Amino acid sequence: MREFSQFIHNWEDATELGRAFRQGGDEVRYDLGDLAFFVTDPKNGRPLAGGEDKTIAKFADDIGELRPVVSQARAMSEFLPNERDRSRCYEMGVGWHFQNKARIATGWKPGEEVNAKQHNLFWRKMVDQADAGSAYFKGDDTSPDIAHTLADVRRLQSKVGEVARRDYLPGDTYTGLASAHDALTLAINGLEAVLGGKSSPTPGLGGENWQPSVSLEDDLAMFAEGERVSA
Amino acid sequence: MTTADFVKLIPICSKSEIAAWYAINIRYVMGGTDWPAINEAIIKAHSNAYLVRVKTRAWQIVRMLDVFDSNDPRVTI
Repeated sequence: MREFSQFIHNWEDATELGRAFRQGGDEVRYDLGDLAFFVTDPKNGRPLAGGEDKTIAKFADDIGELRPVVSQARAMSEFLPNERDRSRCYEMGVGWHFQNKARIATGWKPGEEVNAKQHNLFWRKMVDQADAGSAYFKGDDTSPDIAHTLADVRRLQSKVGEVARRDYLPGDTYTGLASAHDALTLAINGLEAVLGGKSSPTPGLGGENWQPSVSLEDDLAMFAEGERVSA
Repeated sequence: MTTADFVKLIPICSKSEIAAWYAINIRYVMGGTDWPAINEAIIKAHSNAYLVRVKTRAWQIVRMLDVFDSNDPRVTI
């Protein structure tokens, strides 16, 4: 969530910035929502006692935007305040409007805490949307799901075995392939558990001793090489 | 798995299999993976466009695993 207290000192500052955000469209929808969250008091646009001058409706009116647009932007910002989560949605190729639809589908209301069920439903919808072939992934092969990934990992493990049998003699040390084989077994076990509707082994599909080997930042950097697939 | 071993797998694996391995490596397996060498090997065996597809699919898998496998205690499937 963006912090505006350093450069928003009054309603006029807020509405001026709000007008700029309005013109920015979807690109700055979270900025608009953060700003609305910062400057407006009420819930659902209805005035609170003593807060009539800081309603969503008034803010929307003053920046020349429709009230529902501002209201939804504000709600979305409140629902997903973490910048990393927002970035993750976009990296998955899911735009703001679909994020907002997913938020609405969770049944969450502004002012409430996001519970685990709502949180999970939202992220399931993000993955489903990414898999469904949003613009980011359009034109790629069938999107992965757990079942397909499990099948891929099984075949991969079989091929790791083939390479080991082909290229190494009995008695040779091929720790790398052996450990890869073991790692894939753990991944298979984890994927099977998920597919069977059981709790995911945590942390890590590969069991409790496995940890992600790279940070999300490294992960993102690896993919941030101008290699997005154009629609 | 060494980079040399990984390279041996490239010609005998489908794109989605390579992507699954790529994703599992990123998400769980090991540090010290020589990604530039592996990327280069994939390009050499196929093409840059193919590598893009692999990465895109790996990215989808990583994100899918994130949901099932988040360290966030709120995520339980």
